[in-house]
Amino acid sequence: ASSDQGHRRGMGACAQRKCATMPRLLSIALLTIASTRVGCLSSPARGTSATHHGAKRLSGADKPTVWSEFGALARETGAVNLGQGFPDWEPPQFVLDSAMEALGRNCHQYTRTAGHPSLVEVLAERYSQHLERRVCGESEVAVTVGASQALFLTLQALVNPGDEVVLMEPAFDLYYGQIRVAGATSVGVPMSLGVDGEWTLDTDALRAALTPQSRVLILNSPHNPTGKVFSLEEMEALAEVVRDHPSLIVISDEVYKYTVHGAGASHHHFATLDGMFERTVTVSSAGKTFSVTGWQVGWAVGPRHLITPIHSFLPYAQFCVAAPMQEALAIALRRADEPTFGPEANVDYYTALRADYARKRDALSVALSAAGIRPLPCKGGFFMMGDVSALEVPAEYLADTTPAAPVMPRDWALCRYLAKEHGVLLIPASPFFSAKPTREDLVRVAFCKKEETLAKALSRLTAFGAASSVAGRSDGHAASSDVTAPPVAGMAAAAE
Amino acid sequence: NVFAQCTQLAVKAGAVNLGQGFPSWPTPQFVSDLAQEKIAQGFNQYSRPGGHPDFVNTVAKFYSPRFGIQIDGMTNVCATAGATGALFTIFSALCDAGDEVVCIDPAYDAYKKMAKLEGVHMKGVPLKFPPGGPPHSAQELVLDMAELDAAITPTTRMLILNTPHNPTGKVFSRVEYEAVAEIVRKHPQLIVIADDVYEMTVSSGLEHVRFASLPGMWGQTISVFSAGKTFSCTGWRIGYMIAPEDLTAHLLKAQSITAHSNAAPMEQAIAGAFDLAESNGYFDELPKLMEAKRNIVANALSRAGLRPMVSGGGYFFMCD
Repeated sequence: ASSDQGHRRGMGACAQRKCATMPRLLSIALLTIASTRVGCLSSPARGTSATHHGAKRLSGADKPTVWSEFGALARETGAVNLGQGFPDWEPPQFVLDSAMEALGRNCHQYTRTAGHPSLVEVLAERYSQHLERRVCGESEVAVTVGASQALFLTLQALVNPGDEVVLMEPAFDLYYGQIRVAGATSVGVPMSLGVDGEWTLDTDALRAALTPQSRVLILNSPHNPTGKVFSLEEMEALAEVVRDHPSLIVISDEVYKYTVHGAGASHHHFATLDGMFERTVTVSSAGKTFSVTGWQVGWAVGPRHLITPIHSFLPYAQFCVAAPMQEALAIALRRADEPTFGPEANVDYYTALRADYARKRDALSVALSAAGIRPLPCKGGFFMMGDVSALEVPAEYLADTTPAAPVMPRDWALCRYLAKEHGVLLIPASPFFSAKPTREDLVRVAFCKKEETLAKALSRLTAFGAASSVAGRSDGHAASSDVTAPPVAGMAAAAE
Repeated sequence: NVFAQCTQLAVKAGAVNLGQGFPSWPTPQFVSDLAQEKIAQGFNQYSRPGGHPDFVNTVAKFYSPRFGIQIDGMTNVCATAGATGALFTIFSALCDAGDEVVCIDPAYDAYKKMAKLEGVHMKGVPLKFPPGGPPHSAQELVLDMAELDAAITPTTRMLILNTPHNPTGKVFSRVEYEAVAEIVRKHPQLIVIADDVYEMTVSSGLEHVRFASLPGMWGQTISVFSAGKTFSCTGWRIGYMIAPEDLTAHLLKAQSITAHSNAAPMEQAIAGAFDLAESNGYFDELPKLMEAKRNIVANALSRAGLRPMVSGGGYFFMCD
């Protein structure tokens, strides 16, 4: 039979937000389907009809990915999983309480398609402050199934087949799939990595990448995977470019906005820059902020002329988002502002969250350094990148080949080696780049993990580091002296 | 959106809203209790695109005997944001602009609106009155098989069936569906969408026929279901599809690009609801409840001088 695109391929592009591994509380149960009172069950009929092809927009979207491979590896190896982008702790108590209260209010039926009124009211209030203008809940806010759907529908609503969507690399790979399904072409502009570990976007390179077909620029700050937080100056430089290209729209993906933990860094809303409100769809969600990635409530906020087309999809894409979860967030968003959080119960939730993530970031930096991995500065989000160029990768891993990595990049091989033999799972960074040749000297590591998880990671990475330095000295292929030196004291500080 | 507009009007005028299709009674206690339980049990992080194994395996277990086919949760089931989301995923996964789709008229308006969004041409084959005009029962509405046969060609991409039918409330009989299957058998490339969201509301004496369970139909049929309709929680947005492996693979692919997954606590709660409902009599009670309510409304309309065509199932019927 002709090899059909979707045939027997599983989930394909499962990206960071969509983890291939199951949270620890959930296990994959394989139920045996028994014969029942109705009688024996036949196997599904095979070969009685032609295999059905998928729509053209899906073509190429079904290859196995780093997510499916590392998700399976996580399950097989039981390694400490620093790949998955969701917390391994329970949501904060006030968030759970908000859910219980919401469920008690009996909002179990359809709600307003564009967004549950109580949630939209809170969002309009908050964004009126964030964006320094009066945001109209009814026409300038769209509630979606997570930020993923907000991104998808924004692209569907505003991009035509043949358009180009520009994004900075490394980039969250969900964008590529959604851009393709919208019939557009993605144009990746690589950021440069300085010796200080900071990523910068060369605006000349960005300008050079723009064509008359460029329709959307995706800005992601705090940035996945680098942890970069774009400064006001950097955003202003981008806004200049946008002003010079009147047909360009910006999607500002701000899902990590409440996890800006780097000293001196703060989140800026791109839509507040001069003239940018009319040009920008601001996307965010509840999942990262409140550790409820499974609730799937996101939103797009912007001017009426950009939000109305998104609204028009909503009755058909899902009719409405889960009403109880929206009501819960309406309650939680108000509570989060109260200064009752933190170790002294005297700061708001967001302040306490940032402090938590700063500590976890530092703990992870120490752990990575212990393994001979140089942690790169990280100011926001809960992913950090590490430079692994000093590490040795066993030859058999470099020579290996997998369905998702038929030609094995060095970082990918290293991550497989660490998961299988050293009990820690990190994600190779090469899949976050589209331009070839991709760099193979970086990994992405999640620190949205409990203290115990990070402590376990530290002990395993330390053991690996010790074992590697012994191996390095003995076989004459010593890695650079960084591996055997103690972690550079400045590295953790540099991560600030 | 006509439904939203009617609801707004009803609110404004203080009218009894018999327009939009959602229950005004509370969600069954055993269902809403499960939502609280699942949140407390920690189902608050990402589910799986296409449905958590707990959910899809429950669906597989529930429907396997009802289809008479061994259904695998991971490869034959795709969870979606309500049945609306399922339809959207179907169009995204399987239809290119310019494709032709056939449905039965009158039809749930979302089919045509979604088709339009994707640049797909929708052809409607009308249900007809029997000789003598509008019948007392929607069951007497006739699907002209010759017309259906003529409407489906080698270039038709999909046929959308819906039983119990929205808006007429007709429950298609086994004989009728077998006649449709005979037509479908001539077109192996055709994909049939069996929209079965009202499956649990069939009146006594009638049978809900699952098109995919007819001989030879499994390989080309996608069955669409709604937990919202089944468990009176339309706001939870839990829908799902059952289909052969190759079609499910396309659906899963499209679903994972459109949105990540369903609200995890809701999904888990519905899985739990299926298990409880198998033994607490809920599936016997619901159709009886719907039938009683149908009779009340039909009688009221008759007394108002309207002529209802009483439904065989579903939430709605039409009136002359």
